[in-house]
Amino acid sequence: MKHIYTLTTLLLAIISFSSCNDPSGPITQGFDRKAMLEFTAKQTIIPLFGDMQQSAKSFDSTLQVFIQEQNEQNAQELRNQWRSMAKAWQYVVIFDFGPSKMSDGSLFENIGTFPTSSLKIESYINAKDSSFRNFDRDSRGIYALEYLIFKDSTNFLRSTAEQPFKLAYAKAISRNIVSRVDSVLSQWQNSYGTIFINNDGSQAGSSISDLYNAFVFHYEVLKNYNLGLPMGKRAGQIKEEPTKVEGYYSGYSIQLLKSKYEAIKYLWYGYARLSLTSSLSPLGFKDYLQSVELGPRLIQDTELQWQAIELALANLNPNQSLQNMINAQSSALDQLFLEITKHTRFLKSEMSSLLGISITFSSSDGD
Amino acid sequence: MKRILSILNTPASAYTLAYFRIGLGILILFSTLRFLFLGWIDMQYLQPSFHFPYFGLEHFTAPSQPFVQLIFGILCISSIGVILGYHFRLMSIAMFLSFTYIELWDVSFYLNHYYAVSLFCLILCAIPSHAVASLDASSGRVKKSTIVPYWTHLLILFQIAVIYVYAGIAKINSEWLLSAMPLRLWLPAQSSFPIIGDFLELEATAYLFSWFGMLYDMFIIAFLINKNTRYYAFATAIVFHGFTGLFFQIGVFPLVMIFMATMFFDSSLHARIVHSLFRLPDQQSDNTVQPLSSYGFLAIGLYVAFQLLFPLRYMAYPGDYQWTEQGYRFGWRVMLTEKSGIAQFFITDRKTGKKGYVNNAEWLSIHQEKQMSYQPDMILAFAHYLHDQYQQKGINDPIVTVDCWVTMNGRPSSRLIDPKVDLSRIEDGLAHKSWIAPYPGAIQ
Repeated sequence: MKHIYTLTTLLLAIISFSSCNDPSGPITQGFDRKAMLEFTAKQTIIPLFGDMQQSAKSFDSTLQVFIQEQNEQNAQELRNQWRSMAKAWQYVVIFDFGPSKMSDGSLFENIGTFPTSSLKIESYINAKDSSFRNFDRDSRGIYALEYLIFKDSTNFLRSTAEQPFKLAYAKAISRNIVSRVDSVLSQWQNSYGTIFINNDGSQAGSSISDLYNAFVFHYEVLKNYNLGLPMGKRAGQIKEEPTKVEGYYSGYSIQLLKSKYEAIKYLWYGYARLSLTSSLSPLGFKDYLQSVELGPRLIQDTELQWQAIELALANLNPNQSLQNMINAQSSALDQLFLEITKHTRFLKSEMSSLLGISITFSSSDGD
Repeated sequence: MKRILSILNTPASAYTLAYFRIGLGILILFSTLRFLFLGWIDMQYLQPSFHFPYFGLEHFTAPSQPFVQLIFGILCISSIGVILGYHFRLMSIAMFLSFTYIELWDVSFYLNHYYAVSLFCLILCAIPSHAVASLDASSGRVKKSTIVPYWTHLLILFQIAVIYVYAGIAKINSEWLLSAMPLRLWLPAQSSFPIIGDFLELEATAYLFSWFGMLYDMFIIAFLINKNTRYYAFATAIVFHGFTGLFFQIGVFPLVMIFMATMFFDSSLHARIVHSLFRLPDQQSDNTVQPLSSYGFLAIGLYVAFQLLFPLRYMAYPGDYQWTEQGYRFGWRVMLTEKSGIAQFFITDRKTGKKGYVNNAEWLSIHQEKQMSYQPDMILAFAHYLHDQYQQKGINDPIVTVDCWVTMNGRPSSRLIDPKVDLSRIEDGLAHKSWIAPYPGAIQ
């Protein structure tokens, strides 16, 4: 009987090794996840947070200049700096894990919440309260700054003169953004960067799972909050709600939407610093997919869908803000929403299946 | 018949049953404490606003917070009672009912091994596991007996065999054996595993594991029964379940199955282990076997028939059961397919025709959404829930439709549900769900 057992095991091995001539085998074997993580951390995440830090600091110092000398020229410069910061933000918001998970909520929740509540902002200003010791995240962050400096821009100088605490509140928000971004970047450059690179498994809690889940989460944000909600596409909405776009007061909404889309797409491709012009070869999810079973097929489908989305984006009127398109019930925008929705199939479900990454933010058992 | 009855009533060691009782009690206590420690009560049962019911058991979904905590409390206490053999009958029934009730709270947390544990708890309620090495026996609450009828052993072993053999049969299909799916997707994801990581990336490894997994499930019982191979088989069980436990997130399942493999050991070994754990003063022992009554025989016969037939009910449904999931649960299809889906629900006002889409994340946890998106009965249950929720929000008798795309074993996604069907008008039932779209491929 003992021999039968040994024989069975041997037989198994023979059967197994002789049955592996499947023509649909993977293109390459042995993807180096660690190399991808290292590339993403060093060539993408850290430089991008560096850009964000730079933008936030520039905004902060421009705000200081404006506080000292309130004139139209400085106000314009302040708005320009805000646009740069909001754009830089689109490229880092997708990395809302690791150091971005703070004790009082994530970086996204604390500095990126949109739409904001003008009522809450005004009430904190009236109460001269810039402590941020509350959970009203829609009263602070990048889009609260936008409200303060873009809303009623023709009367901006007068309003800041009449209501001096408005600028103090803006300054407090700006300092808060700088300090949080500083903290995140410094952790990436030091302890967390190493942890991220070395945690190279694919189970829940691994770096690849964190990165992938954040990628999917922000794709859903793009679909549901940048487009679905303001477009009035959600069940129960009676009509469009264009004031809910990201970048409403600045009218910078379409540029922010395009930047967020680009950031997500470039993360899939693995472009260094999410830039097409980098001299470094990309290393990202696309390369990972290339190495796994049936991955090349999914790459093809995914790239076709990126193209479909880009075609829809190109059909949007370049001179219109997102809110104006929504008001005009643009059919081109509807098409964009449709194409973005279609892509969840590839990005969320098929990609997680092929890469064996769990779509869970915390662990639970399976069988 | 007489021969069967005489085999069933043959005297056998009561220590095997005590060993089973203590082991199962410890496993349940351990897994419940692990559950509490991981914060899963809150995450799984308290946070979600909706729970997926089992068909016909809609009233048994998760209760409110104090009851959730009460039931977990009962489970902990009863498992300790079972381990000690203290008021064993009451405690074993409480353990079975509380464990099973928790499993009924939300079908999205269905796991084969939870079902297995429920069945082992049920068996425990029916057998005299407290005849030795228990507080009941040492206090004289029950008569100590070192022998029990053999059917009590056989019932446990039968249940273990059913799990393995059916799990093995389920693996006999072209996807598993000829394409090594889904292991060809799952194993390379474990390439960072120490030492053998590179080996896991090889295609041949997926074939090796697929074939070995199938043959292991089919024949491990035979090797465990045979005295000559038993210890080799047990060593294999440790390696097999140990590796699957390390590779995949399957919780306490490997521990449960490794423990169950030890049930095939000699009763003398069970007695030695029990003695080392439980040193109670010897009592006068009553060593007569209580013969199985005709009702008992009938009950066991029905249980055995149910266990043999119920997993096969999928044959009564048309289509590929791995795709439609009809008759899939309670059938020991363990880690059999890789499925993932996207279910985009739409709500249309029946009067105004205004249509909007649903953000599932507003209603479901990530785990619930993931499970729901490829299981038709859960999709239907959620559609009904959405109908009621949006009706309350002022939408007239909402039409609920879904655009659901599912990928199976890495293939391109296909539509799972007819997107035109108003799910709010469909009642769940045991009949074939004609609104499930057929699978474009076929699994032989």
